[in-house]
Amino acid sequence: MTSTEISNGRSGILNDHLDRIEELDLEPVIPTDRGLGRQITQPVQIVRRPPSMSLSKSIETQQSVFEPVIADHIKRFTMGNTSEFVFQIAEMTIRRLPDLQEQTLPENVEKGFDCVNDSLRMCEHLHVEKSGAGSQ
Amino acid sequence: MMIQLAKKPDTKVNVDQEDVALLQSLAAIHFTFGRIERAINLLYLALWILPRDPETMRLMAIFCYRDGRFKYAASFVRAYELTGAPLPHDMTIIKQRCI
Repeated sequence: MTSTEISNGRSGILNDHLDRIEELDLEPVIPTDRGLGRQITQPVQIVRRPPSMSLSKSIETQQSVFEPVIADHIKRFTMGNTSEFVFQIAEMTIRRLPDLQEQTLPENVEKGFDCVNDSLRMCEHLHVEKSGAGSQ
Repeated sequence: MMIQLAKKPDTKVNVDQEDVALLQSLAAIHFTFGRIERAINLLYLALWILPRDPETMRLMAIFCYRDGRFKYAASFVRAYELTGAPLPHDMTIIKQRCI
């Protein structure tokens, strides 16, 4: 292998490394070859990925991660429109309760059902606050 | 009349899908408010209702990844692949980083 090939190989590995750092949204660190008494003077080309490649970015913009139906639910919920949720969750709870009581369920599933009940209470609370029924 | 009856969709399946969609929305709301643990538990309930629902697995992988549970995220990516559905972009990234 010639020195040029070694140099190219190193540059390729370095670029891969920097690419990976870019992908993880970390600050890129340009290594120096101080151990050999010289610095890497050749500029390292960082190929930036398109914005759509960044998972953390898409998760930050929450709604783009979710299907339109879910995004619509989130939007309605954050705007305080919880009445539909109260109804739907209550309906689901009533429907699923016999199945849940009959079987021995994994811990996570039971916790999930507890979360449903908590959410139901939370939605009811928000709904009562919004409709002003709580102040009577 | 016979044709209409024959075409009538399976009510149980529809109800299951509706419940799973509701749980996914509820989980997404919890996730949006930073309650990832609760969101994951809600999705476990959704998986109990429809164990092979690809969208639940996708959300599970994203939530687990976001919560730092990389092994779980990877296992949900694998489970998603087993459903035969094409791997979406976000799942591909999770796969690259976790597996």
